[in-house]
Amino acid sequence: MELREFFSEDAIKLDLEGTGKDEILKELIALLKLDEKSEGMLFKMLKRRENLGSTGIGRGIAIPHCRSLVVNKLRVAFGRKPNGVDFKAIDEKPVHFFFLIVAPPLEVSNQYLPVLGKIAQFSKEPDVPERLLGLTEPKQFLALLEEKGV
Amino acid sequence: MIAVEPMATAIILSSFGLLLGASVALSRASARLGLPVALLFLLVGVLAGTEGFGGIPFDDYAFTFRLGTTALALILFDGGLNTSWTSARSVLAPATVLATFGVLATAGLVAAVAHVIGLSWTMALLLGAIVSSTDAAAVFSVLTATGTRLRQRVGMTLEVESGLNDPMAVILTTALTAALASGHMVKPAALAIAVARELSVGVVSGLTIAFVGRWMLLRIRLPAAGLYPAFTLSVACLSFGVTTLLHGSGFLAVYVTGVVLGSGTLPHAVGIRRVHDALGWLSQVLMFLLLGLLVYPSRVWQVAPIGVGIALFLAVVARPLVTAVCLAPFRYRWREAAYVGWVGLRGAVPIVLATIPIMAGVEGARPLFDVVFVVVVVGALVPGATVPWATRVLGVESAAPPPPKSSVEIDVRAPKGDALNAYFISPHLAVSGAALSEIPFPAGAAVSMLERAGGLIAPSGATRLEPGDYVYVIAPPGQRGEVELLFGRAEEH
Repeated sequence: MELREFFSEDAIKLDLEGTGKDEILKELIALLKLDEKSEGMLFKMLKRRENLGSTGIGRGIAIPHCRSLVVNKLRVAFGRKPNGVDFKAIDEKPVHFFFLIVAPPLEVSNQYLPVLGKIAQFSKEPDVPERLLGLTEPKQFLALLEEKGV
Repeated sequence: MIAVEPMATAIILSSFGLLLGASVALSRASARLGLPVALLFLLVGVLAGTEGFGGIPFDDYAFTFRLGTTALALILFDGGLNTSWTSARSVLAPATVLATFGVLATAGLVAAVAHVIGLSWTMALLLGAIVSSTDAAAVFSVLTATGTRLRQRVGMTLEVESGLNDPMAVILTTALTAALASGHMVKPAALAIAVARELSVGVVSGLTIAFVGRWMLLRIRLPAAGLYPAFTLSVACLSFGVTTLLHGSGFLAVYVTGVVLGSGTLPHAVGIRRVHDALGWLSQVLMFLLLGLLVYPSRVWQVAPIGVGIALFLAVVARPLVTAVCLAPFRYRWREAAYVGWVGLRGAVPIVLATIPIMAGVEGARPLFDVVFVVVVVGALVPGATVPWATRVLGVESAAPPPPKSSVEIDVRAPKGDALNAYFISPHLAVSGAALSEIPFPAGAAVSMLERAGGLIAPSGATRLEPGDYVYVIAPPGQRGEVELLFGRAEEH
C-alpha cells in the first residue's frame, strides 16, 4: 500500500484561503466534493477529534482525521496555506500543510491507521516541509509522494 | 503545674497528634457537606481553643503570623509546582488584571461599605485590603471532593489569580497598617511605587532563583532520592526569604519559582511533587488549626452582624462586579465570568493578614480580626457550599473524562525527556477499537499499561483499545506530536 494511491489531483489545493482552523477544515472538506449535509456532518466529526487535542503535530503539519458515515471508502485530501494559520499545533507554530483523512466507520481493508501512520512518517522526513512549500502544481505533490516511496 | 521534659514535649506532641489526626479524619466530611476542607480544620482549631472543648490557651499572634507566612509560602510553592506554564500562559493576562486591579477594586468597594458602617477610611481600607485576595485551594478542595472538573480556562483563571493576588493584598495591608500605626496618611503615589517595586522584584527574583535552582538540581548528584525534595524546599525558602529581604514580594517570588521548577525537567520529579504536596497539606492543616485557636467565639459573636454583612456584600456584589469588569476585555463568556466572580472564596490569607495590625498595636485591630474571621467563614459557607451547584448551573463543568484511577509515573535522577503519559480512549480517536499491533506507533513508543473499568491490564499486541480505556504510553523525547495524533491530549498529572 502506497500513499500515492489515495490522493488525486482534484483533492489537492495549494493555495488555501482560510485564515482560521474552522475555515481551513471546511476548505479541506470541500475538496472531497460531498453534498452540503455530509460536509456539515464531517465538519462536526473533525471538530470532535480536534477537541481531544490538535492534530497539528509540529513542523507546520497537521493531519485532521476522523471516521464518518459520509464516505464509503477511505478519502484523503491535501491543502497548503503558505502563510500558515494557528491550528493550536503541539509546537504552537503556524500550520502550513494539511492532510485530511476520512474513513468509513467500518473498513474491510483496514487502511485508516496505516494511512495515518504513513502520512505521519512522510511528515517527519527532514526535507518535506521545504519541498511542500516549493510545490507549484498538484502533480508535483503526487510525484513527491512517489519519490519518497511511502 | 509545670511539666518537665520529656513530659512537656510529650504533652505538646500528643495534643498536636490529636488535633492533626482529627483534622485529617474530618477532611472526609468535606465531600459530604460540600464545604472547603480548610473550614473544617478551622473548626477543629476553634473547638480546641480557649473557649472550646479543648481549652487550649493560645493568643500568640506573632507566632501565628510566622507560621502562617511559612505555610502560605509552602502552599504557593506547591501550587506553582502543579501549575503547567503552558496552560497558565493562556490566562496570565486576565489573572494578572484580577490579581492587581481586581484586588484594588475589591478592597475599595469593601472599604466603602465598611466606612458607611462606621469605620474610619484608613481602617475601612485596611479591612478591604485584608479580605481582598482569593484562595483557589478552597474552591478546588470542594471540586475534588465532589469529583467535579472545571473547564480548563475557568479553572486556570481561578488558580493563577489566587497564586498572584496574595502579594497585592499583603502590600496594601502592610502599608495601611504602617499608616495607622504611625498616624500618617498613605500617599497613593508612594504606594503605587511600592507595589510596582514589590511585584517587579518578586518576579525577577523568583525567576532568577528558580533558574539557578533548576540548573543546580540537574547538575548535582545527591546520595539519596529523599534529598532532592529537601533541596527544592531550600529553593522555596530562599525564594521567599531573599526576595523579601530585597524588598520584593516573597509570595509572588515563591509562586513564580514553583511554576518555573514545575514546568521543566527535574530529577526525581515524582518524589519532589509528592513531598511538596504533603507539605502543602500539612501547612494548610497547621495554619487553619492555629488560626482557629486564636478565635474567641464570644468576641466573634459580637461582630457577627457586621462580618456577615460585609461577607455577603463581598460575595454577592463586590467580587462579581469586579470580576465582570476585569474579565470584560478578555472575551470570557458571561457564565464563565459569573462563575469566577461567585466562587472567589477567601482562604487563610485574610486571617493571617489580620494578625499584622494586631502585632503593630493598631487600635481596633482585635475586633477587625474577628470581623475578618466571620467574613472568611461566611464567604466559605455561602459561595463555598454552592460550588458544585454553580458549576452545573453555569455550565462550566469540563466535558473531559474523569482522571484514571491508577497513577504510574517515572521517577529518575537524570531525566532524558522520555515521557509516560495517560491517555483517555475516546470513540473519536483513530485508535479506538484497534488492536495494539495495528497502531502505527512512532519509533520507541509503546503502550505500557492499560486501565479498563478500574482494573489494570498488561497489554499485548492483540489487546484492543475500547472507548473508556486509559492507556499509559511511554515515548522518547520528540515523539509527542505523533503520540498525540494517535491518542489525543495527555491527561495532566
